[in-house]
Amino acid sequence: MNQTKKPEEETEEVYEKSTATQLTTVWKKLKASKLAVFGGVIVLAVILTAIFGVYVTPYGPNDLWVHKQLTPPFSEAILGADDWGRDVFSLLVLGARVSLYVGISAVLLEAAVGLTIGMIAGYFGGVIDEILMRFTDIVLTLPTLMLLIIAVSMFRIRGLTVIILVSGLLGWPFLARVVRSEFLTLKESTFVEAARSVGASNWRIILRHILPNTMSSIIVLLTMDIPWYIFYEASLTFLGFGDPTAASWGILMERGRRFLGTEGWWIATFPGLAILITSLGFNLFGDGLRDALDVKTRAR
Amino acid sequence: MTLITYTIRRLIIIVPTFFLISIVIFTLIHLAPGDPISIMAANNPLRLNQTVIDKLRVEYGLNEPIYVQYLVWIGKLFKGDLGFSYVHNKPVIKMISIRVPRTLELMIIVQAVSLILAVILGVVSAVKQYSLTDALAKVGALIGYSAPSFWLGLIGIIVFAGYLKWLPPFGAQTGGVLYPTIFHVWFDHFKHLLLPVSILSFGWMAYLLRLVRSSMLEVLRSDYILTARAKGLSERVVIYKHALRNALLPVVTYEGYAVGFLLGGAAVIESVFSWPGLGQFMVLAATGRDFPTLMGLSMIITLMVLISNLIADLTYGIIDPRIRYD
Amino acid sequence: MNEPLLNIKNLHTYFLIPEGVVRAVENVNLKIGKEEVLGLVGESGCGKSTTALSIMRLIREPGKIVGGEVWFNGRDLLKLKDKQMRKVRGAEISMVFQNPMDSMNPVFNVGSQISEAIKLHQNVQKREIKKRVAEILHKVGIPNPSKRMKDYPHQYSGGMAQRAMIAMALSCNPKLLIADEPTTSLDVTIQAQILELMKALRRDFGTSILLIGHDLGVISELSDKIAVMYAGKVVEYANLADLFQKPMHPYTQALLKCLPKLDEDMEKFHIIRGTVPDLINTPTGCRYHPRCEHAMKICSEQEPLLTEVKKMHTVACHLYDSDSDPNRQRR
Repeated sequence: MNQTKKPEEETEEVYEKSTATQLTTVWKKLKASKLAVFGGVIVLAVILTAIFGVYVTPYGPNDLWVHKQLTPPFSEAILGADDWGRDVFSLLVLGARVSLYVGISAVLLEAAVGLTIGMIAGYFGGVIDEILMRFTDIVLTLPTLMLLIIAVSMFRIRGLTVIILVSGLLGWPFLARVVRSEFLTLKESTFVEAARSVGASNWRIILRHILPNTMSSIIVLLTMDIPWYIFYEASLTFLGFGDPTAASWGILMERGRRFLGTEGWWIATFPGLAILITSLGFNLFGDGLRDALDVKTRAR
Repeated sequence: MTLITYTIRRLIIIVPTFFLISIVIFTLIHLAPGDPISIMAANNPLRLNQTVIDKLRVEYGLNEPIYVQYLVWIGKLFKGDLGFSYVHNKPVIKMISIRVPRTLELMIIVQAVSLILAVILGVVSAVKQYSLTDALAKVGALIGYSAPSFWLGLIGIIVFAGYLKWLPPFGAQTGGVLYPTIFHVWFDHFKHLLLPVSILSFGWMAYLLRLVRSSMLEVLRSDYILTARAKGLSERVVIYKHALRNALLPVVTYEGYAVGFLLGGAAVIESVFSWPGLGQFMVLAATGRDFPTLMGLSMIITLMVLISNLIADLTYGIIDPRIRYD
Repeated sequence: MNEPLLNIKNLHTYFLIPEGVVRAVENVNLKIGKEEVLGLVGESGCGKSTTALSIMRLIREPGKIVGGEVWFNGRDLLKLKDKQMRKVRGAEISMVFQNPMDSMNPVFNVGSQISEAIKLHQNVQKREIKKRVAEILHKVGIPNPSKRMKDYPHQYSGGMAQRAMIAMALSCNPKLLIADEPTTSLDVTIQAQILELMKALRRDFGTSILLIGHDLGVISELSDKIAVMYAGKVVEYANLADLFQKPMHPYTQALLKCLPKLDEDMEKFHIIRGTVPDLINTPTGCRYHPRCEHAMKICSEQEPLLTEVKKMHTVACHLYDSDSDPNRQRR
């Protein structure tokens, strides 16, 4: 008789599933996917490089002529030197900080605008929704890189702020649409009805009740948008709209553009590789995160 | 609501959108610290002397309030006058018209190649999940999606032009060479096309493939697919007739954004390969602070984007009856 | 000859997933005669849909039919080649599903989806097909069929859509119609209409029906015989009247007690304590014993076999074991 439990106990066991259990399930699923782990490791490595890189690099962006001009890689200069004698490896490490800074700042801006618009449109519906969505559609169709090129050519300050602002202000429509559709569905839920019946104000419902339920899709989306912002920054600086003395991956590639033969191919190749690996990391991790947060898949 | 009503609805939205964007562009350009003319002059001291500057000021109505300036510009736009580039000393529209076909050919070929490859690989990948093809497709798509296009361009030049010397590193056609026949011209052009097209396609195809695959997977789980099988239809009919059409719906929407996206990509790739198209022109104009050109060029690009969105929307309306019969 | 139209023998369908083997359908035996309606009743997850899909051989990875025979019209369907089986589907055996709105392809109009089946299985001229489609839509009670067949699924209401699905299923005059929860997602009034429709169609077409559901009340409207399934196994099988008047299996008895009755005073609803068992780690012995009020020692040790205890009334329960077994002690 000891293999079976009392019927009541069984009933309770099936229905209970605390937040702790849910988070553990997500973590287990995440750990189980080799690709997600791989991506996560890369992301962690990039973040650590960005934060602590400064203390590790032997040279800085303004240290010219530390090597002979155009020293090849795998020699005294690990990844070679550029035509100003700067150490490519150091510049690469420092570039991580710039890219991550741009990526995270722009994503935060995107989140701020996208969430606000999406929440309001989805929750209040009606005319507000219509207007906001038309607006969102228009911004969605704007070609980002084109506008970025125009924007950076306008402003005399060659800096990252313009890039972050413009790309963040152009990148929110997709997030807004996702948030809006989730809010549209969730506002009809019973827990919302319950909250309303005890007198919760609209904003309280939005922020404390509905928003937490949408966090999983939002986080995945934001994670996978970061590589785009890194790409935009790199493209713009590559095209010549950035600060040439700064240590950004795009700038390095711009310098390396002239050296595509046997002399100096490393200047452009390694930073591009860094962008590739970083993007790969965020994308893999984001994909893994999405699968792990999906309630329909099971933990292995 | 029929297809015609749907089309009219979309068209009606385009007009205010166009105007809105023109206001945005105009504002952006005039937000620059200092007035546009002096910036242009500072960048191009040789071409713009004081007489020209004064003439410009009058022509663009820079001494007038800003909304008048805007109206003047819009008015000229509709008459077909896209402005005059004082940097190149030519009307903007003339310079654009030479470059439009170069960019168009890139985009059309890239879209066609990407679409075909993405659909084929995406369907195979979804139908034969966990097979080798699926794994390869997923990896390929991930790399194509994560790799910066201009880096791939540079690598392409390093390997195929520099090291292997199989393909030319820049331009659309090798100049200063005598071509015996038209086929030689085409072949040379083809060699020039190969690298830029491959790189742009790799990126866009990666994007589409992910979409096709996930869309197909979802559709294959639907109830109506079960019904189709229960009717006794062969697996091939189920996949290619019933599943594919539904799975392609989101792809059509995304293709609408393709032009906007690819134009950005084209700007970068055209710069890398010195391809004489609109993208490279835009970068040149921006670098040289050639504002009349930038404004005119932006509006042309906007028009192209809006038209392609319209085509995508219409195609969606044709394929999905739920939109038409609301 | 009273040869049954459909004879399922010892059917086993399992799902192989990382957590283990889900024994979804275990040793199922069922028979349906010509022009007969068999109601298959059970809770969600008890294996009835899986049984239906197994008959049609529509089970996909990670599921697999691992044993048994499905005799239909003189052939074992499980031994047919894919091509032959496809000829059976839609033409000799048809299926109707639970969600009519989701069960039709949204991008094709209803008429074309019905004619697709006709074109596939029957040699009919193009002009004839249109006529047939209109005819069958009319038979299932859809008004203005020639116009409505050009409409798309989303333009149909739930009830209309289910009628259209039934039309699709009957378009090639199958001998057996499998209806998997056909009324579950419909309003009660529409439910009644659809059941009436199926009664009429059964009369007119002479089709046998396998009616699957979890609502005994609904199923009993149409069925001649009823089979009760629990946790992947058939636990009782009898004529409609016998089942209702003299249910033998404790599960069936409990199910009947759960039906609210209008002519009795009920203080509270009767519930069956516990939950459906995990189909990977099934309980030892009888799968129902953990919840059974009459469980005995033998119930946790040995699986009861389906035996014909009375004429046309089979049940799988140790309460009806014929020998006096020393193991038959109350626990």
